[in-house]
This record gives sequence, C-alpha cells and structure tokens, in this order.
Amino acid sequence: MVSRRRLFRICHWLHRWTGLVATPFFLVLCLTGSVLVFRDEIDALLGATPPAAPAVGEAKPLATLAAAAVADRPAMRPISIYLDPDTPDRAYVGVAPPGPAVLRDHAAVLINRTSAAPMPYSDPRGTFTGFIFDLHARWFLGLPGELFGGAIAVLVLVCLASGVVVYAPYVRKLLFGVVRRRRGTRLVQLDLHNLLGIVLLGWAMLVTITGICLASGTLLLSTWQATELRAMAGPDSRPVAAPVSIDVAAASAQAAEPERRLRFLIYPETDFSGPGHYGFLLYGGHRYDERLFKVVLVDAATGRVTADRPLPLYLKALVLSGPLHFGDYSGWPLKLFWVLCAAGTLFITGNGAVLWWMRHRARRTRAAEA
Amino acid sequence: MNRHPYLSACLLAGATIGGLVGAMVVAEGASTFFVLVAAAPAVLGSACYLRRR
Repeated sequence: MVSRRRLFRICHWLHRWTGLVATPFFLVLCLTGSVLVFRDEIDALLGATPPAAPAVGEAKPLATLAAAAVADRPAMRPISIYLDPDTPDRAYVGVAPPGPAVLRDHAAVLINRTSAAPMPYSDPRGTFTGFIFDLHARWFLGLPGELFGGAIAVLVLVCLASGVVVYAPYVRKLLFGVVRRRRGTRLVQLDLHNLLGIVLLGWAMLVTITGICLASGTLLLSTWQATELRAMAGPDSRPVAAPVSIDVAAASAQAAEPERRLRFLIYPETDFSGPGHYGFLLYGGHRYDERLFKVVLVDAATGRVTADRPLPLYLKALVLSGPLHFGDYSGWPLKLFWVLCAAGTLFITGNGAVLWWMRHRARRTRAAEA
Repeated sequence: MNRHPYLSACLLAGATIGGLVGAMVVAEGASTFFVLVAAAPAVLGSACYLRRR
C-alpha cells in the first residue's frame, strides 16, 4: 500500500514532468484548436465554400449528380456522395481513378443538387483551416503525427489526474477562490494555477480524452474495416461488371432503415464498402442520435441489402468524440465557452512552466550561496 | 469547498462534462441551459475569486 505522502510525491513528479514535456506541443494544440472551433465561419469568410442556400426545386437523381462530377473530372469514377443536411442545396461527390480506391485520398467535386451543375469548391486540405487542421491533428506527418498527438494527449491526461492529487493538500486550508496576493509572486501564480486548474478540469479532461480517441481514429477504422466490414461484405464479394444504379441501391438501403437519414453513399471497390457492394451510412433522425449511423451494404449486382449493422462501441466513441473535442454542436455560446476554456488552459500551461522555473532558479541560487 | 477537495473536484468536473454531453443530446433550445451548467464551475470560480480579492 502506497502511503499518502509517497503518493503525493509520485503525483507531484508526474504532474511536473508530464506537464513540462507536453507544454510546447499543448500550446500549439490549444492555439490551433481555438482556430478550428470557428472553422465553418473562417471557411465561409475566406470563400472556401459557397454560402449555404435552401434547395430550390426537386433534387436530381444521385446517378445524375455522379455523372455531372465525372463530366467535370474526366478519367475519374465516382466513389462517394455526401449529402450534408446543413447544406441541402449541394452534394459532395468524391472521385478517384478507376479501380480500388481509398476514400480518404479522393478528390471532391461540389455539385448543385437541383441543377446538377458544378459549384466552386476548394479542396479542404488546401485551405487555411485545412492547413491548421493538418497541424492540429497530424503535425503534418500523417499517421505518425496522429499517434504523436495521441501520446501528447495521454501525457496531458496523466498531468491532469496527478494534478488533482497534488491540488488537494495545497488548498485544504484555503477558502475556494482565494489568491494570496501579499505573499509573493510565486504564491499568487500557484493559487491562480490551482483555481483555474480546478474550474477547467472537466473541460480539459473531456477535450483530452476525446483527443486520444480521435488520435487513434485511423487505427480504429482500420480495425473495423479489417474485421466487421470484411465480415459484412462476406468472403465471396467480387467486383460486378454491370452494377445496379446507385439510386436503386440507395432506395433499398433507405427502405431497410426508414427512420434514418441517408447521408453518405459509397460506391463499390473502396475501403469503406465491399468489392461488390455499395455502402450506405444512415444517420439517426433525432438530436440524440443524429451523429450515430448504421452501415448498410447493398449487393451491387442485385440491389438487395446484404448487411445492416450499427457501429461497434469503439467507433461510436470515435464518432461522438469529434463534436465533443471541437465544441461545434451548440452555436455561438458553446464556441465562446470553448475559446475561453482554451485561453484559461493556455494560461495554466504557461504559468505551470513559470512556477517550475521560479522554483528551479530559487534552488540554484540557494545552492550557489551555500 | 476546499475542505473536501477531491469531492469538489469531482463535482466541478462532473458539472462541466455532464453539461457538455447534455448540450449535445438534447434539442437545440434546451442545449443553452446545458452550456450554462457546463460553465457553472468557471462562473463559480470567478465569483469566489472576485469576492475574496
């Protein structure tokens, strides 16, 4: 059994060193994350996407939208169609060279859903927010960068948890909210560190844990593709020479899940469908499940539903981590709250490093005097 | 509050996390209420700081 005193010393050491190691990276994550909270607004301001407009008239069939995208990008084939409920006037059609395709590497064409005309569109990876996102999520390094970000988030989580253990003895004899102003700069900084740390603990924990989930997203998706998706498609899934129209396949998928909304459609021969199957993601129709989806596979030869499954728990956690990490699901009050919390966390991170430096300098001075 | 620091840390963090998760699952009108719940620890901390300054 570890004594209280020993536990405190271990946690103090962990809090100091995990914090110091993570500080420079965490500062970058806080700053870039604060920008990404306003990603939609910045993109609209910089003209990366045309402003949303209500859909006027009847939407064209999905096959027509896909054909319009291919006409815009000859020598490509459609691999996906994304229907964003927030922008019902448009469809994002993913295109790739013929043959097996990886969904993440596709190019996208923005098509007006009622006229099937291409709309001006910048590849998100080439925009300012795309640049910031690549830094925040991947450190410009792809998968290794994602895992590095996850490792930093684990350090921050250890720092937060050990910080609670270190916090308790410091504040037990003080009133909540007291900052001892007349007893030197170091105590002022320490009291501010403790006060801000404890009121921001919940936000920081949530953002850190969801950050760890998101950082392992590529690995979790690969696991799902290699296990569940492969099992859903079956061992006999082969490319089909003359597949049924995507409209027929989409109607079958929608009929299997009439309560849900079809949002993401994936053509055969991609890493998110089978070689001989269309894949459809059908999202919940209510606020509490609008981010969760079911995966429906439709046989491209017959147009019949062959598999219909909810996401496994680890992918549900991954999907829900996105909004909980970026705070973009409840309008301006939440965005403002997010930025204020990020600013407070920036302060604590910097002031923690200053506290360590002040103590370190005082010790060196004492040692030099002795 | 500081007399029971672990309990108060759990309550403050729980209010924030509960408020943020609540704001995500309820209808948009009610979500502002949950954002306020999430912000309550920060408001309480600011109020105590200003009072005891």
